Amino acid sequence: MSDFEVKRKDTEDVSVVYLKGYLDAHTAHEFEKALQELVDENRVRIVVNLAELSYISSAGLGVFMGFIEDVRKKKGDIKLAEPTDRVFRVLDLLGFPALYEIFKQEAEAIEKYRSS
Amino acid sequence: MKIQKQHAIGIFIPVLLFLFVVAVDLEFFSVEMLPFVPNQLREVILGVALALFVWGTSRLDWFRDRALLQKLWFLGICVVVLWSGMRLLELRMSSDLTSWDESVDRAVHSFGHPLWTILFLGVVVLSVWIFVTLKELIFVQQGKKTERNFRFLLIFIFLQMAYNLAGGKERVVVVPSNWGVWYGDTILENIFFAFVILFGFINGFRCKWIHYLNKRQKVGVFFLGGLLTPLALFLLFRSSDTIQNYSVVVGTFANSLVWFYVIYSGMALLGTLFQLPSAGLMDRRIREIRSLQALSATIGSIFNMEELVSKTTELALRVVGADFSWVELKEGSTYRLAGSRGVRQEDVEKIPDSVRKGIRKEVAQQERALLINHLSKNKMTAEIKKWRPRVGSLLAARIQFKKKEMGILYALKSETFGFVEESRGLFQAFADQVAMALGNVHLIQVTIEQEVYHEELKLAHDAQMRLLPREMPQLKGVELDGFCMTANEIGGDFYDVIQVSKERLDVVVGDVSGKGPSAAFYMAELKGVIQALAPHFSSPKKILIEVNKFLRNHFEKDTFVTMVYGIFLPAKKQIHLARAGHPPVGLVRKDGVSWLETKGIGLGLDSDAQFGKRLEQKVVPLNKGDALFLYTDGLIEARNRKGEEFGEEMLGEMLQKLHDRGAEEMVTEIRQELETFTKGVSRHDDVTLVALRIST
Repeated sequence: MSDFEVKRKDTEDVSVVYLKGYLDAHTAHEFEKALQELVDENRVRIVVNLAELSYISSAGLGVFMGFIEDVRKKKGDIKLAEPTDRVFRVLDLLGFPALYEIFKQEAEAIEKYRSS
Repeated sequence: MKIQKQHAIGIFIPVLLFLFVVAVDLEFFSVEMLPFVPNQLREVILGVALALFVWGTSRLDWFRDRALLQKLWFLGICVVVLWSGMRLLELRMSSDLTSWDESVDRAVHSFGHPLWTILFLGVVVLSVWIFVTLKELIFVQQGKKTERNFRFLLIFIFLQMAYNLAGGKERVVVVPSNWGVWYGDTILENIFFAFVILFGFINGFRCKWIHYLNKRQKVGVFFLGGLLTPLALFLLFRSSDTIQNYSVVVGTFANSLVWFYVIYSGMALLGTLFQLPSAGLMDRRIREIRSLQALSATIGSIFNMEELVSKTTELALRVVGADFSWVELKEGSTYRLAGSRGVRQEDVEKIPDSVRKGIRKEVAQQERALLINHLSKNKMTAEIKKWRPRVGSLLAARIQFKKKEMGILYALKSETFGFVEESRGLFQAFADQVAMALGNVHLIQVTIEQEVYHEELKLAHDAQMRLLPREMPQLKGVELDGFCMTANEIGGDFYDVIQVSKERLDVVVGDVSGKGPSAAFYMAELKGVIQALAPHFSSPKKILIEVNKFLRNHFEKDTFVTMVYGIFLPAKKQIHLARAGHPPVGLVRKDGVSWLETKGIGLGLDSDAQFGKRLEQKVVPLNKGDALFLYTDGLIEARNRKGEEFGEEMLGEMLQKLHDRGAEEMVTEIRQELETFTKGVSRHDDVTLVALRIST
């Protein structure tokens, strides 16, 4: 289950985290580490790009929940972008769309930060 | 002593031949000289007997199996006996055995005398024994040419014997005073003799057995051997003619042999002499290597960390003869003093930090143990004077297992220059053994811990399984069955069936996010919470809101739960359902399967108000033959070997097929189908199935 990757790209005040592969209990800590780094650096305008994420388990979803409160307290947000249909179904089933903004395009998510 | 057939030929036939000759001597030739032909025949018989005897004796196991020291003792005793016999003979010779023959103007011996017989047999046996024992010594740790050189020696001895016989060498022996010039009577005899001497020297270089003696034994060999060589020399100059008179062949053999003995013992004495100064050192090295071997065996059999450390420090003292020793074990980036000998641990801790750090740094860079001969003169360790003014020298070796530094072993001596350079290698070798032992102890601990962990998980699994309903409530007209299997020993899935009253049956299926122990604890807690809440609330929505409240207050923020909660009212034949982020419930009817997708987000995701606002509740009528199928996402997300998902579609088709079966059969069938589907693939999520069916 090592086929999971986290990459990060900072553009001005928005940071985009790219997830690739299989996000489950084994790989969740890598994603957690990436988010922790951002929070530590006080870069709280975060977009998570899910375009290449093939699977997300409950442990993976838990990572978003572990950080959202802190990030929002710091006047930031975690927005999700470009989920595949499969991943979106999981997000939708759990009710994520009610809690997180999910965008079809990464650019839209970044734009949302810019305009606010 | 086992004598094989061919050895018997080599022993008994010569003995019979000798006895035959002796008998003839005694009977017929008491005083006179023998005529030429019978004399030659007698010599030939003696020569054959001697050759056979040498061959037979040298193959006796009894000679081969003796220990080195026994061989040396045996050799010495043979020489002494031979000398004593000859001495005795010499004393009696003039009166009893020899008379002066005026006609030929020389001494004539009376062979018929019994003393001659004893002397003769004694000489034969002893000289053969000495010869064979010398051969054994020469062959210790034999080289490629050892056998060839020894054979040459033997060939030349026998050639000389044959020549003396054929040349009809009379039983007249050169008087000792002629000795200084040449040995033999003719040039050819001298040539053969020269070869015997030459090969005597060549074989004399084979003194490897000296290496196997310890210092004390070397000294013994040197002095005792030094006494025996003059005895042999005496034999050469005084008595060889006597036996030569009796038989040219035997005499020649005995003579060559004594020469060879003198040469060989002389060279062996020289060899011993050269080795005497280093004998003590050699002994120490051998002792060290032996003790190292013994130590390795000892520490290799210790599987307890404390015991190992204690033994290591104890043995470290012995290996290099140190006064104090201690072991530091590396833990992360720091070193922990694990044990000491000859000095208290608290005292070791008082060694100035600069010294300890300096040594550690130095040790890390060295292949062999670090040796500091004069601690207070060394810049790095000069501060040690503050600790103890009298510590002199130090050895420190890193303990490294599979390229990972595990610690450092120290040995200290009060004297400066207390360790020799060679101790570095030895100390490091010991540290390497310790490293292996430490590594083993570590591995064993990890294995045991894993074993214990698995055992505990198994217990936890059993405990968790007991949290699931053991018996389904018996309600007229309602069939119920459930099944839960976890991906690991313990998981976060659960289901429960609570009969709140005769008119109400609650069915709940939940899935705690994450896996393993933490999920399992939350699951257990949830079960209790729900059992407690159920009787106090009349709708699934209210119960779920309460559960959400509990979760928000008590669970980790990254933990959430998906759940379906149903309250079945048998009298009304309807079920009230709410679903919090959980996969939809399958409603199985004769005319098809539909999915009840009420709205609702997972428990623990949002505040109670938000959660409540989004939670939808539905009432579903259940008539005879209708069934509800509840499950967790582990079912539809299960994958087969090709990576395909079980999926909602396939589940729907199966439920359709099973619509007229009982609840138990429905659960069993789907479970079996899942097991077939996922054959050869490890499960990565828990799976829970619950079926409720109205039978009447």
